[in-house]
Amino acid sequence: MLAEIKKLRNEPVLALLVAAVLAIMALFVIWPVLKVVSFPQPADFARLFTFPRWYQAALNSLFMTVISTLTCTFVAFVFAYSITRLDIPLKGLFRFITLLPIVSPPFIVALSYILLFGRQGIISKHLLGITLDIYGWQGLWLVQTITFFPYAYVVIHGVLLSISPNLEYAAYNLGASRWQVFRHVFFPLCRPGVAGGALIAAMNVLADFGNPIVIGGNFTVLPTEAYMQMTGWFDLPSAAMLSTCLLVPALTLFVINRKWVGQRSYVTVTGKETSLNIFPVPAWIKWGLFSFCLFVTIVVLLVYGVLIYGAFTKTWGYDWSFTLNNLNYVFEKGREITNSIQYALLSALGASVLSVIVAYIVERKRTGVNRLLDLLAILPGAVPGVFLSLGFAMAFNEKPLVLTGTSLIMILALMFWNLPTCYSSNLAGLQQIGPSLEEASINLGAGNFRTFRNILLPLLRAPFFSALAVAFLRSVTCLSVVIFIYSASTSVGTISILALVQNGLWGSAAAFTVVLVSIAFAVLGVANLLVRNQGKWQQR
Amino acid sequence: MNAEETMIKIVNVTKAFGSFTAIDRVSLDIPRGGFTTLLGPSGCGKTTLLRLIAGFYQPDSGDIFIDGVRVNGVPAFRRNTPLVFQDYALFPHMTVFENVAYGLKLRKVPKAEMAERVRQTLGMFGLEGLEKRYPKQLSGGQQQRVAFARALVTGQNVLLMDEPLSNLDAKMRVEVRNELKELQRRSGITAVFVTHDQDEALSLSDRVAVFNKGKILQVGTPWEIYFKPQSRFVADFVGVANFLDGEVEGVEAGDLVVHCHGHRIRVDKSDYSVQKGDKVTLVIRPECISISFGAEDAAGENAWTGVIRRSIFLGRMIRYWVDAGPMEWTVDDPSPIRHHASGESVRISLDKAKIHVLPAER
Repeated sequence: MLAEIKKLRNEPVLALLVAAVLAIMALFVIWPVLKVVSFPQPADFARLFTFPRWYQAALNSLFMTVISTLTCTFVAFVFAYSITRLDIPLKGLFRFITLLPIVSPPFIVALSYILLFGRQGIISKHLLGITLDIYGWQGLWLVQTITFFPYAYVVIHGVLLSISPNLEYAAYNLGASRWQVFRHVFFPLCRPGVAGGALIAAMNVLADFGNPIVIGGNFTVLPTEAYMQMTGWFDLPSAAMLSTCLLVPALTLFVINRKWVGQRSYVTVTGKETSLNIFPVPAWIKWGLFSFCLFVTIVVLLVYGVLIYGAFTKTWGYDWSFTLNNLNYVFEKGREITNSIQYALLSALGASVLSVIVAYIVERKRTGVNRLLDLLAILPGAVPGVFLSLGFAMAFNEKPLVLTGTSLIMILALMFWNLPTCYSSNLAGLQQIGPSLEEASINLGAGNFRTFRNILLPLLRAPFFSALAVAFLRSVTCLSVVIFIYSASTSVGTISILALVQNGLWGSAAAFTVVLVSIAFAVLGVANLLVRNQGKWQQR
Repeated sequence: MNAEETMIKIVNVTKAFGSFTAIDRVSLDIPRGGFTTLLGPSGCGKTTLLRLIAGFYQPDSGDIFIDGVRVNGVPAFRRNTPLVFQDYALFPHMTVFENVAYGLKLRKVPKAEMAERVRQTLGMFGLEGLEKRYPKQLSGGQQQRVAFARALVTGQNVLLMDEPLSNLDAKMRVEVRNELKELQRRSGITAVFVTHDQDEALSLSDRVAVFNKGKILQVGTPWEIYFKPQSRFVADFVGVANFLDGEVEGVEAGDLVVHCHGHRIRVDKSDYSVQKGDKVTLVIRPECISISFGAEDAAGENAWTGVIRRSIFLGRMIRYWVDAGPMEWTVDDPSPIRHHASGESVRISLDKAKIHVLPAER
């Protein structure tokens, strides 16, 4: 490693780049984390156990994470299995359903849940005429399952796709029964994917702020409790302590995911792919799983449908007549929406550009600090949004870098929060590009920089832009990361929606959400049109 | 072709990756205008040497000269040593035209001239009409020709090739081999070709350098490599050979007499300077052994009777394993009348002029 660092002397440009990247990462990743972790005194940590309310919040966080992870993983596995292994109708719709929650604001499901089952709920009050107490762990459990199963699905689906049906045929050929094939061959091959999916779901549920704040009621969890301490009591030590307690399990899950699952994935993609059909499954299993997927799909569609309905309804629960009045409020809050779009665009761009540089260094250069760079680029993925927000608020509220209340702090926080997403995508993209392409370019007379520009960048288009799009959508719909750092002039759409929800203005909240998400998709659509006609070579 | 002049000179070059020495004090002169093949099993260092010439690696010690200029430290993009990659490495986001034009574009060749040169080169490879296609839309053979066109279009007089034929099917490989040899002969380019395929090496090359474990074991013409190997490894790696260990008894009438496991074998002495008492290994190619069936003839000088142990049918010949005299021989029958069965009696005889003598190793 030291030898590699010494060799950098021969490549001054690369050395400068590495130093700059390390400095930036230290300032915006390590420094905020250290700020939060080091702020509380040991006495503050002791209060977690002596103050029953916080102790309970910590237990609640763990409890909710465990039960939601189980259900998320189950639903995700059924969806992934049905889509990859069964010959059933409506696969397109099921796939769409697994995408929807990923691109929605985090508390949208909670909001719809209130519209459906709350005191003024369309099902509870209007259809059934009953009053349900929906605020609590049961409601939150359902909402978290619907919100986060798609994240587990992405991982599990990827792994199931890579399992060649040939392996199952080989087992059948050797005389295994259907159940034996599932137990001895198929499931062991899925296990890394299932574990990986479960961990992703767990990390998201654990760190989630939006759903618990909207629907948790008296069932408080660590992120909401930290938020209460900050906004209600300005009790910084307690907020920092609670966030730190949240960081510990989050980091643990993250490390397990990297070390344990990462090393246990069996790649079964061989050069020889055949188009063998999937081995048929008994009808009762097939249609049973189909019904399950259909049921989940209907629930998800109901969630989004009711939101749109709510956006155009006069007074939810009392007057169901159509109105455009809710939109008026949205237009009054034009600045929040402009801010949302602006910050999201800039932060997504920043994260994409920075991540491409880091991914290039890590994947293609030997700098002696590759592993450190890799770790720094994915670390923000382990940090709960609320924690990151608090970290930025504390780290950049004092010299040398005072950013409090500026747009820049919003953009930077969102940018580094999105860095792992973009980095993973670009790194995977780079790994797909054989090194001989770069060598061929260099061999023909192009230097390092020209090769990067002429060969790597064009080939990285697809992962680059898909990561950019995801980062943009995540930023538009993000609440937790900005919760402690927004100011009157830099407030964003999700903050307004939260305020509306907390004040019981469901209609306006729904309208605001619909408008925000629509604008985000419109921006995305335009961007997609702009870049599409340059990527012809991929489409054939 | 001026065989005396060296185009690429490798002097005592060593290259290690961590604790693994890929190239160990290798020296090699590659003549201008010749076709030189680096041949060896995988992991022997032949590709590493090619990449050292192209500048993808820098040697740990030793020097590399191209056209009389020391190129140590010269970055790969300034070397002008076009390389044809094993996987072709065609840029998937560029059309055939753009791929071939890329090297010219980097050299700032004017547009009109660039188009003309690309057109000519594509014509040379029978790729007219495919200019606007992307690599994905080409067959394997077409992709390979684009890779050659891209490497040759800049008009350099060196061409490096890293197993460029290995991704073609067997029949195509032989066809392309002939075209490649013809192309190199006509253009007078200095070709350096890396392969593990001995047929390719023997049929294409003016000179072959046989590698093993990071060292060059022998450099010579294909004839020398095949019939006069200087080590057991070379004899074994290139083609099939029978090895027979023995001791020189003396010289009789201009022939060496070698004692092997109780049998006396006569070898034409002219090429060898061995002495009585030397331990030697005799190398006999399967096609250099005469085989006759029926075996009424008795055993005689350099001849034994024996039985067929097993055999395989190879189309152009039948290969027999025959237990006779000092050992089990691998013998080829190049003009078979019928396929004889295991257990049948045969007589084999060796031509004393077709036996190669190696000093015994170990």
